[in-house]
Amino acid sequence: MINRMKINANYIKNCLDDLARSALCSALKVLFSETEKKLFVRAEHLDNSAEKNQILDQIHHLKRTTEQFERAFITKATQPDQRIPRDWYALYKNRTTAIQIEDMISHARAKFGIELAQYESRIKWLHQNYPDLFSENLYTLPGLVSAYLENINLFDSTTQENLTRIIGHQFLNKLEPMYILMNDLLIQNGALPEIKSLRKSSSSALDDLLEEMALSEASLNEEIIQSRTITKSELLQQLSSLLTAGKELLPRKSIWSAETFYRALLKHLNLAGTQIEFAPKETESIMLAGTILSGMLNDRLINPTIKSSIAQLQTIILYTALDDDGFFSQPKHPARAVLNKLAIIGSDPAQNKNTLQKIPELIDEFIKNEIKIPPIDLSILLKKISATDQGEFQNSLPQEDIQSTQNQTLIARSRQRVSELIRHEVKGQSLHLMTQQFIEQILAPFMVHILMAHGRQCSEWTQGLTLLQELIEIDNHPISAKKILATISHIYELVDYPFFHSGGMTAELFGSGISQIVDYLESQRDKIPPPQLISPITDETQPHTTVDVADFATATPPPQANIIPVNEPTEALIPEKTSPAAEEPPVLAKTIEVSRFTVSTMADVRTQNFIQRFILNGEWLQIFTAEGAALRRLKANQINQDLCTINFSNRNGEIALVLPLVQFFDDLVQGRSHPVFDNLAFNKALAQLVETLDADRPR
Amino acid sequence: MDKVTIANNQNERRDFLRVPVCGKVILRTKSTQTEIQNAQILDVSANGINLGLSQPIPVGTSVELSIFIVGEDSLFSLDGVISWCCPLTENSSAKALSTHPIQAGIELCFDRSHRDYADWRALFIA
Repeated sequence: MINRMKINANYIKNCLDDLARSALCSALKVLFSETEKKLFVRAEHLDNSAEKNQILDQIHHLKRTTEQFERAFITKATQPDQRIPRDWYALYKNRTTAIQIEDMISHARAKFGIELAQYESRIKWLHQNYPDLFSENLYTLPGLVSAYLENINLFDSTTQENLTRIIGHQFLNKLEPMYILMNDLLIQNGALPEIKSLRKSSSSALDDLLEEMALSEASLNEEIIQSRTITKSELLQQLSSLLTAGKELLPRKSIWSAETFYRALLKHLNLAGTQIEFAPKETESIMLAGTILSGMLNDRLINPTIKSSIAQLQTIILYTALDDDGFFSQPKHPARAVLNKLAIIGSDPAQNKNTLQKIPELIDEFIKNEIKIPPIDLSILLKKISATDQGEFQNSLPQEDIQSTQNQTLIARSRQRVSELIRHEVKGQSLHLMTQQFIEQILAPFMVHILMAHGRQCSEWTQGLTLLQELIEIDNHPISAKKILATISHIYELVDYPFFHSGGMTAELFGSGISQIVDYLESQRDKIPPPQLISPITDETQPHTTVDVADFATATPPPQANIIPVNEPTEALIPEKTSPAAEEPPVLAKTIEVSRFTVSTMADVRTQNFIQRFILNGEWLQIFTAEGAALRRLKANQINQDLCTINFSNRNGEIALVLPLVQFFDDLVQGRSHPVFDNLAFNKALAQLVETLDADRPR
Repeated sequence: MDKVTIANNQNERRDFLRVPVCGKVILRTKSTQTEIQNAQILDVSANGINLGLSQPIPVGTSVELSIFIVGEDSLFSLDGVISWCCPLTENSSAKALSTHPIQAGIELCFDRSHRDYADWRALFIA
């Protein structure tokens, strides 16, 4: 067999690593989260303080060790020379548990079926051809279990037992989507299934085991040959017959997840007897449609009546997602608009009963009368639902205005807190112009950032507060040269703080601010006479200002203020406005109109760089989903370039939201979606990106 | 209540808005005489938590909190200090009063080495 595609092994390895890292970290987070919750429930119901104490200790230990475990696990799992033990007893010195582990692996292997068999076979082929890059067990079930058990000794013995017992159900069984994606990746990149080679494996110590595995894989490969990939048109035809029969793939009361939805479809298609599999693009579309539907059907805030109606639409939504690429890429696609509208209606606690009763009737009617012959036009249903909703949300304040002011209000409140604190510390004492400028331009923004990001219990806050007190003391009381030197060193300690180097303020402003205050303090120190000649203070030649800190907001800004961008830290001392509506909306929101970004904009390398650096960096984001719906706080997880969508996950790493990338980007530009913590570097980079994209647009 | 300093909590002490959430807490004091009790969340903010307790705890006591928030479906392990403690009388349901007659405000202590703190602030800053 000749591989007709040119293989870029390094590229494949990097892609596999990215996919696996994301999936494994997510699965581990869920595993630990479940374990913690179980321990919490046990502790809660115990009356014995000693036992309760013990369980709390376990929870704390688990919490503090998980990150270390994750790192060690990933390092071990990606090692090219990773070897698995001949039997699990060698790793886990308990025969019963070793047998249980073997059973759990077999169960997961049987559950994953062809996808895993194909993946393992392709990895073997890659190992035979690129042994330096790919270990024979790279991300295979035995490889992962081996890495897991080798690092589990980081936990205490009770936790080790708990984690080992649930590895099958809570960890291995959740890895199926990972194998589907990795197998697809290998197919797309031309990695062939393993073929019998004359070349001897270098890891001869494991010959017997390899032989055994090869035999089992050979039998699975036979199955592979018998299976066939269903074409898109065939799949649509099958769904069309489901639609006309009015059947649901997955009942409303089932456990809803992308995986169960995928399985339900597979089960339905396999009824004919043939082993069916989907092409990679179709797999992705089915999983994403399943994720969208599961997100809504598992949302506790949505009314159950509306959830049932959403479940009724599952086949229609899946058909549309497969048939129409615009479902994922167009923010205002009628099918997505219908789902959004239903979620809004269902999550309104004050929703009137008439609307809740009418929605199921409308959907029943639509399914009976409007979808006999695809294509399905959901705009008809959207119009009817909108009409039923009696325009309840139309009278409210435009959502865009509310959300843009929410973030501003939060920043303003923090600034006011810092302003009050500085005013309290100064208590009407006079400050030198240099001190005033330093506090206004550098120290106050720093303290606002610390207050927002870490609170008042951290060392940086104490550091900022101490510096403030020292500066006030230098300007108002006789002080020794040694104390001034200590203050200068405290200022230099600030220089190392990441806030000042990650776009917290302009380099010019920061540089000049630091050098000016240091020059001023050094001049003050030079003026102090030697100890024997101590004389009280005041230097008439220095222009002391009597402007109180409270007047900073109205004081004339220094020349540098002209270069300060939006959300400039000097605004830290501006008191919060009484009416949020009177707040200035962000500059971006004022100057950029909607819908000028397209799928091609998202493919632009500059946009991709921005997204990689500022969105896919694990930062918490506040995400706009629809008019009237609450903002979601999630982390961006992954981008699907084919479908032009972005996935968001919760703190446990579970995917909680999928949005068209264009829509999300547009929301970022409009200021509707944004990082939870104000980030000047993000704002600047986004403004620059929009400017360059605009400049390139044909006029 | 004789050893407990009862502070008047009329003045808002939080830097950020209080968010009403449902959840349970297991609270453990860090003093030599370790005391554990189950508590009920009344509200939370980015840097504090308001709890309904069964027994009063002296102001200034360092505590370890295991917090389960229903909406988030996840557990936070945080440290804090009791800022104030008083009988729960206002704006509380009869059920809360019967099981948790004491109300306490706890200021959370930031610990950069622990990701629960960053998650907590990101989720509840308002």
